[in-house]
Amino acid sequence: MNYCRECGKILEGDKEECPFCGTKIDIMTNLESTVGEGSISDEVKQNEESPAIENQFSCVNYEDNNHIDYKNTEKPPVKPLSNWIKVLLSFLIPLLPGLGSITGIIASIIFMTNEDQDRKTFGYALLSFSIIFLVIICACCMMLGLLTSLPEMYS
Amino acid sequence: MKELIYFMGRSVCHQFPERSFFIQGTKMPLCARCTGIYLGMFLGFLYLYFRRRNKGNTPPSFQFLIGMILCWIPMILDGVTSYMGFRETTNITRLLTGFLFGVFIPVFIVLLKNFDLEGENNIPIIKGYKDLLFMVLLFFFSIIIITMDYDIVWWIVSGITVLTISYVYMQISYIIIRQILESISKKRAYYIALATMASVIIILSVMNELLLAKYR
Repeated sequence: MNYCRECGKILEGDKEECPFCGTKIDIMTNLESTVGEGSISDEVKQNEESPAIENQFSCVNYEDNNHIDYKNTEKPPVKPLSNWIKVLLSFLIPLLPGLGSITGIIASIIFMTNEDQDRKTFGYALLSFSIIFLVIICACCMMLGLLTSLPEMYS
Repeated sequence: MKELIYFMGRSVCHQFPERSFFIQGTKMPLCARCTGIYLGMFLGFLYLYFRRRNKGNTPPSFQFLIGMILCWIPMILDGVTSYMGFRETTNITRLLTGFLFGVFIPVFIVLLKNFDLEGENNIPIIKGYKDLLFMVLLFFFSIIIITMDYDIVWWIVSGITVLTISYVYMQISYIIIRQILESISKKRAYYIALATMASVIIILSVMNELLLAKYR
């Protein structure tokens, strides 16, 4: 939250002038003032024992470093895919011939467009499984259909 | 030669005379639906090859995926209802639904072949609705071929379908082999895939013959 330095009213948004008194607002000075009033300096004043202060500062530095690393690599932490979903999708393909393969293909394409390595690998495996199963069904369906329909035709 | 074609056709199909096309009085090696599927696969591969999409490795976007899967539903409906005995289908319907099913399978096979798990995948396979439309319109090409009543057409169509069967089986076993044996070279993987394909087709064909011997 920013305050006007002249009249002290609350400023909303990124306006260049204070809407109440018309003073020009310098963003840098505002930032400095908020940092100066921050809680760290208050805590430093209260705890005057030197080891505690050093600890606090080292903690702050450590966190800052982490923050920088995280920004440089630009990889948000992604949860790996739950094993239950993997098992369920893999079982669905042989259990529901045809429909299971179609859901498998949809799910695997969604996973493969994902950037996450785990999802990509699983999507690839799932897609190959679905396609292979679909082609095998094509071959077996013909035989099954023949076996069930032939006795009726010749009886 | 004809015996070999029939033998290979037997690996995936029942070769039922009532459900097959006849050209010049000779039965096709596959039933109408299987002819549609494998002719569709062949034309799909041909289309991707001529549009130079056979190196593509990007998964199709969600809307195209839904479009492709909607094209598969007619065959499933047609197959299920006719096997359950709700209605009778004609050979042309079987050919059409089988074609719609088969024509988009190559997209997934190409994707599985080229997809790079570690690197970037930027080469598209399906660029727009035009691609899907053209692939579906290839059906008319296939139906013109089927209705021509020449002896040479029998050889062309049955040769194409039988070769497509072996090609698809080979590509699938190639994909599996490349996944299992990562260090193997491409050439050796193709040799192993060829052997696997041949043995699978022979086993399936012999099995089919044994199973259905009493009905013939």
